[in-house]
Parts: sequence; structure tokens; C-alpha cells
Amino acid sequence: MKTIDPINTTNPNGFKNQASAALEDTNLQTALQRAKSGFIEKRKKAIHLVDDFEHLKTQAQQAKQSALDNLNHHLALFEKNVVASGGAVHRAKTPAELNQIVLKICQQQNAKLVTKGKSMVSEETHLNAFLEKHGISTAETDLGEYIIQLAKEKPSHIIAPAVHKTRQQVAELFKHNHELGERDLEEIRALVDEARAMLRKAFLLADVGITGANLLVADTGSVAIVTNEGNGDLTATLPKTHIVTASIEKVVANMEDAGKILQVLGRSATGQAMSTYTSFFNGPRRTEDLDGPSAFHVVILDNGRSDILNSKYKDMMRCIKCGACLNHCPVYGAVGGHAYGDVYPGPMGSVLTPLMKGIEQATPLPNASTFCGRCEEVCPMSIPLPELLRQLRNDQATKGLAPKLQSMALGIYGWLARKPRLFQLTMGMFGRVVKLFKVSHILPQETPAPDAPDTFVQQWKKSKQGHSENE
Amino acid sequence: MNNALINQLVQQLKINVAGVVCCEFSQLPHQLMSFFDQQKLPKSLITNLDLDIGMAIEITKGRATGDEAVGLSQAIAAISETGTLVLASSASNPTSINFLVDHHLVLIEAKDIVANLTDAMNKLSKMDAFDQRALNFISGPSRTADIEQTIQLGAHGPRNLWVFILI
Repeated sequence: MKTIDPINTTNPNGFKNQASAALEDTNLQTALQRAKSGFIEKRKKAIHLVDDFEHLKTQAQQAKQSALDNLNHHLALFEKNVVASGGAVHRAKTPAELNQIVLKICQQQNAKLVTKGKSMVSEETHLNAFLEKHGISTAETDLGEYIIQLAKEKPSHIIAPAVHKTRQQVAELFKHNHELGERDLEEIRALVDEARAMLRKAFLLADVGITGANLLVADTGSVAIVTNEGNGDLTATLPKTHIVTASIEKVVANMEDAGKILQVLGRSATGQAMSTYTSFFNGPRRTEDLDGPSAFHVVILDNGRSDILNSKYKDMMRCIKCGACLNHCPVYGAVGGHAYGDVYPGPMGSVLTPLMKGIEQATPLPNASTFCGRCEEVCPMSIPLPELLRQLRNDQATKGLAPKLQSMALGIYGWLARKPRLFQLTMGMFGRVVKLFKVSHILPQETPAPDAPDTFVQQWKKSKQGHSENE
Repeated sequence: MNNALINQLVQQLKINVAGVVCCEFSQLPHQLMSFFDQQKLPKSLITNLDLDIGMAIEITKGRATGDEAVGLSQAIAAISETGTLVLASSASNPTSINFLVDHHLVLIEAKDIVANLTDAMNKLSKMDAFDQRALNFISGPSRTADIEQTIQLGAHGPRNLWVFILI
């Protein structure tokens, strides 16, 4: 096997090279193949069990949209209710602000070790690296996140961060990082048990627990997390301080609306009607409680989301991060998440990354799509992802960011297409030239060269003549 | 009493790989003993519920610390459609028991079973359940599919969930 350089995962503009490397990575290809069929089948089964999934989708979308339409009101209400139950809410405009807020809370607690539940917001702000730089150890506790933390990689999938790893690669990582001597790590069970034992110590030792949030419920001031492993709950229950890292669009009006979103989230993500654990946290421990954190903080990140909400891309803010669009995307399925070079991969990432990092920072991503439309079809929030990607391509072209060759070719084509006679003449010549050189394909893709004797227009004319002669 | 709801809950919990027992409250001590015998576990458990379940099982009152194999809690609601138990944190139901023990035993009274998530949300709102620190919706033992998409039970939380429906 050809050895390839590790994929550069920090450059959304490196998509082409990163994708090429991914296609040659046999381990990655094996893992992706397995994941693709698994996710798609599970979702399909779960949706078949529901009488009317379209109705559930509509309900969920309405719940989300009504919260977004009145976002500031809902965020203010959420904050009021968290404070009423004894917690604190902090607002962060930028990733740097969020990191500072979290660091400050950790330092006030004199924290040495932080356990973390899964949080894409903290991936967005590179919180772990920031805390480590300030002398605070972080332990990711979701098994997938733990694996990629050991591998010093980024998640390659928003709900299955280590989906790109084979069990052999995980065993290698564990042997390298856990000093436990010779042992058999052939079976997945052995790997899960080893991670459980290692992380159990961290859960019991940690000074601060940080989790993400799937929902913020305004009228009760609750934070909801959805997990299967129970790691999020151990993170939120055992340490003295619980910090939630969330983003503004997670807020919903009330529990009824939260329920509507939960009904489509699990089914779309993992094909579960309900994930194993769905938990709501309402502030710190009460005086009579025997456990639970004594301090409860929610840090809510904006990071460009307010601007997106005020733009033609606002539909993207309905995203509930279920990952269905990744699982069904032929491009993601071929190259995996790292090729996208940023935190959010797949179709949703190809929209979010340019919007959050600046359109010029991620020019290949809107083009990393075949526009097949499966993402929109499976999106429980009916986000028009292909249309948003098309608008991003438009914006790129308007700003002169589109690849030069592409703009030139489209320019020439557009000019020609508006001159029917010249267009027919050129196309006729083009066809003959192609035949002359006996090329079988016009482009590297599966576009066969025409083998008819005439152009379409010539054939059309002939067939019409034939018809009139017969009459 | 709605037998349809009970039956659906039982079925769904089994699909979620949980153990289920339906019994009257008076039979609970006996059913608990059967659980310990069946699992070949030392007869001791952690709970903070005020329960008289006989002398044969050693009961430690309090929260879980990570050393206990078996813990006992009581759910305030259950959802039959999805096989979900709702546990609210309180003095008698410390959250740590839900996640730190290997075998989690949960009591649920049949009258507290509702059909679906929407009904559960309504019931919980009426009970002011969201005033408690934490509400845990639990639908089976802890699981993960993070390695090669293969489902494994007992990721970080309980390896076994046993539900006693009290009729």
C-alpha cells in the first residue's frame, strides 16, 4: 500500500487534496463503507415504525422555527429561568470569549481535571487545547471523542466522531496510551471495557464537568442532552461544577416543543425512537439533594449565528445536528469528514463552514456536492441544503472567488448559448472534433462522447422533415 | 388500570434490552430476591428510597459512589411507546445511582405509565417535575456503537436495567 501523508484537517480550502488522500486510505474506506450502510438502514427502520414521519417533521420544524423567529425573547426567558433555579448564564460572541469564560470558571474552582461530554460547540472553539494550554487536563468521555482525543484528531462525524477508525486502529491507540501491559484487545467488547475502566476514574476525580446541549428550554430554564453511553450524565452529575457549552439556536419555547424535536432527532441520527438517555438539567443541586453539582453554568455561543439568522442562509439555523445529511451524502460517504478540513463536515458543514469562517476561507466546500438532493430529503428540519450550497456558489462567483477556469468556461458557454446559430455551429464542430480523435469520454467523469452522426438539432430537423414527408 | 399500556411498556423495554417484572408491591421483596439469585450477585444494594423489602437484602442508604454493584430507584413516569422511564432527582432518588451502578433496578407504578412523549411532557409539567435538578429519561442500559457501528451495552453507565412494574 502506498503510504500517504496524514490528512491535513485544518484547512477547509484543502478539500481537493484531502479528498484525494482520503480516497487512497484503505482503513478509512473500510470504515466508511461499514458506517454508511449501518446509519442508513437504522434510520429507515425507525421511520417505517412511525405512522406519519412527515407529520412529526412538520411539528418539529414549526417548534424550531417559532423559537428562531423570536430568538432574543426565548434566550432572555431561558436565562431568567436558569438564574431562578440557581444557575448562571453567560453569553459569548466569539469562540475566544467562550473559552475565556470557561477557563475563568475552571480557575475559580481551582480545577485540575475536567471531564467532557460531547459538545460540537467546544470543538468549534477548540476548548480542550485552550484549557490544556492553561494547565487544565481534559478527558473526553464519549467513547468516540475519547478515541480521537487519544489520536489527536478532530471528529470526522458530528455524532460518531471516530467513525473513520477501525477496531484495530483503536486497539493500537489503547495499547499506546494505556500502560496496562500485554492484553487481548481483539474484540470490541474488550475495547469498550477498557475505555469504561479508564474513564470511570476520570469521572470520579474530575473537578468540573463540561457537556454540550441538544436543547435549551426557555420556559423551564432546562438544558437537555441526548446520549447513549451515559457519559454526559456522569459528567453532569459527579463534579462540583457543571458547565454547559451551547449555541444560541438550541433554544426552544417549552417542553412540548422540546418533545417535538426529540421525536425526530433520535430517529434521524441513530434510528432510535428515544436515545438511551435524554436528560434535562435545571440548575445546581437542591439543598435536600445528595448529589449533583453545586454550581451550574450555561455558556451560550453566537459565533456568527446571529448574522446567519439575518441572512438568506437563515434556514441553516434550524439544523439540530443529527448527522443524517452526512450519512446519506455520496461525497461524505466517499471521503469522510476530515477532508472537509473543519469541525462540521458533509452537506451541513459545507454550508456552515463558509458562513462561519468567511466565504473566502472555504471556497471548495460549496462545490463539494453533486446536488443529488438526498441531504434535503433526509433532513428532519427540511433545510434546503442544495439550494443553500447553490447560493454560496453564486456568492463565490459574484465575489470573483470561483475557480478561474470554471468562471471562464461558464462565461464562454453563457456567451455562446445566447447566440443560437453560433452555438449550433460550435457544438456541431465540437462533436465532430471529439469523434475525429476517437476519445471515448469527454470528461474524466462518466460522460460518454456522443456517437450519433449529427447534433441533436440536426437530428430533430431531420425527424420533423421525415414526419412531414410521411403526412 | 390500562393493560394495553403495561403490555406495550413491557414489550418495548424488552426490545431496549431491559429486564422486566410485573408484580404487586407485596411481591417485590420476593422478586428482588429472584433477581439477585438469577444474577448470582451478593444481596446488597444502594438506594435512598424508604422501602421495607425484608431482611434478606442488605440495604445501604445514600447516593452511589462507584463501588456499588446494584442500585434501586423509583421512576415518576414511564412511556410505553418507547420503553422509557423518567427519573427525577430528589433526596430519595439521587441521580448518581442511575449511572454509577452496574445493575440499575427501577420501580414504576402502573398508574404512572403514559402512552407517548407528548403525554409524558404534559404529566411532568403538571407535576412541576422540571423544578427538580435533573430529569433522566432512560430507555435501556447504557450503550455505544462508537467502534465499528457495533452496539455494545454497558458503555459508561449500567450494564443492566431491570424494571419492576408495580400493579
